Amino acid sequence: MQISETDRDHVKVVSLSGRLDSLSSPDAEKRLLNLVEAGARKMVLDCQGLEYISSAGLRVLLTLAKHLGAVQGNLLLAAPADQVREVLDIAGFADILPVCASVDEAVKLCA
Amino acid sequence: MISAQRHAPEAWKSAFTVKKQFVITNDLQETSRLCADAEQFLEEAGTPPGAIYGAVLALEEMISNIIKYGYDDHADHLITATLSVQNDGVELLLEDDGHFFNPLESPAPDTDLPLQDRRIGGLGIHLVRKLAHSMNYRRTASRNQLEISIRGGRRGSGTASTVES
Repeated sequence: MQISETDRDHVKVVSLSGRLDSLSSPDAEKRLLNLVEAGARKMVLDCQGLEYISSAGLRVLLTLAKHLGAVQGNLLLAAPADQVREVLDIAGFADILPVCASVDEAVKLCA
Repeated sequence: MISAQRHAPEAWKSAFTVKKQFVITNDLQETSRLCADAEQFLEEAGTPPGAIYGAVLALEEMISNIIKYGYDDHADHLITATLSVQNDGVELLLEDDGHFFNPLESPAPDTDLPLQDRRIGGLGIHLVRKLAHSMNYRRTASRNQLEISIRGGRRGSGTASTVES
């Protein structure tokens, strides 16, 4: 799992690339929560490069969303592949985590 | 310490099925390697991408569940995963010697709760049940046997049955 971040219009855009599974999730969670700790409040997860997510990865997204919610922050997902999208839908995440078709759209909505 | 052969002791081909058996111990690192090896095997066998995703997800979720909750001791245990590639998908057979656990009886998580009340427990099994075409659970004298059928391209019907033996 590779994670990189950029700032756009006061929104932290975090690119997730690779697999968010039980092996990579603990480190990914630490890195994402560190961003919140460092002051990030508006966050977009760019999921274009996310090849795979399991329940361990969903746990990371849920934890991040709860942490951001606790500080009146905002979390949006952008551009997940079809199979990742299907997993998010089955888990019922569509109601708690808005999913946008593109990063641009997510940043606009988040800013 | 178990000195059994790990990973892919055998693979054989017939006219219609390609089959491969993986044996690991109850270790999450090994589970992750098994998932990577299974993915490669399914890709080489020409399995549709949707079925590969479902199969790898089922392996990760179900095996990590067995490892976390299946054992009452801290000893090494063997878990066997047999993958049979069919024309339009994959049949998985998972076998373990953990205590009785029928995942088909586990309650579905509430996926309608607001964010702050959302819990992640049970979500793995829920995902597999929704993605699988069918699932069958059998308990033999000392082993759990779980068959999971994954079809390519579309979400499964989620049918499930339990066989008493």
